[in-house]
Amino acid sequence: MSSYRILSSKLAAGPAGSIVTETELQGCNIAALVAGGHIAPATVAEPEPETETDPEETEE
Amino acid sequence: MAKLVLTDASVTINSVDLSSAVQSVTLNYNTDQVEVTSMGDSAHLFTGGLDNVTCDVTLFQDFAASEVEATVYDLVGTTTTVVILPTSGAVAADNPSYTLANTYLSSHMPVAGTVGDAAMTTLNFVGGSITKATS
Repeated sequence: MSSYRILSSKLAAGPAGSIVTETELQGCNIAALVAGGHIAPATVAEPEPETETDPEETEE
Repeated sequence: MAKLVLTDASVTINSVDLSSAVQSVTLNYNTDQVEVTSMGDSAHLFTGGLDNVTCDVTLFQDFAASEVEATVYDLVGTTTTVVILPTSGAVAADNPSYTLANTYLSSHMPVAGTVGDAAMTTLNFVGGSITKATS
């Protein structure tokens, strides 16, 4: 499910800076809200990839 | 029951509160009348058909970020939700909310006016379903 950060103070869905989900914006035209600068897709920080250890290096 | 002078109507379009830019708002709620007169009847008889809701909103045009034009322009030709209350107070029996869902924005006039006049735009929403809430 997509999340969006509220950018404007005019959105009934919440205050500026908060995060809303697609469900909370049900019935709204999300593309128009993005185009109008009211919301922007919220970027979720991806977890750092785990470093793989070579099994041959560890077997001694 | 007090009479009400409209001075503080709340108009939310696509979840954006544009009340402060609204000059006028008119919500029309009709139901198609379907004739069911048949042989033996002595008068026209009708029954309710499909709901036929329209909403006209006149706004002072504003081209600033996140204001009227930015909110409305990309809605033309699409469906959205419009919520109207008589006042900006909480929803109550004496301040009901009218939610117009899946309504189609058929027209918007980005630039309209005469020299010396305030730039205005009138939005015409058609169709969709209407729900009244009192709490």
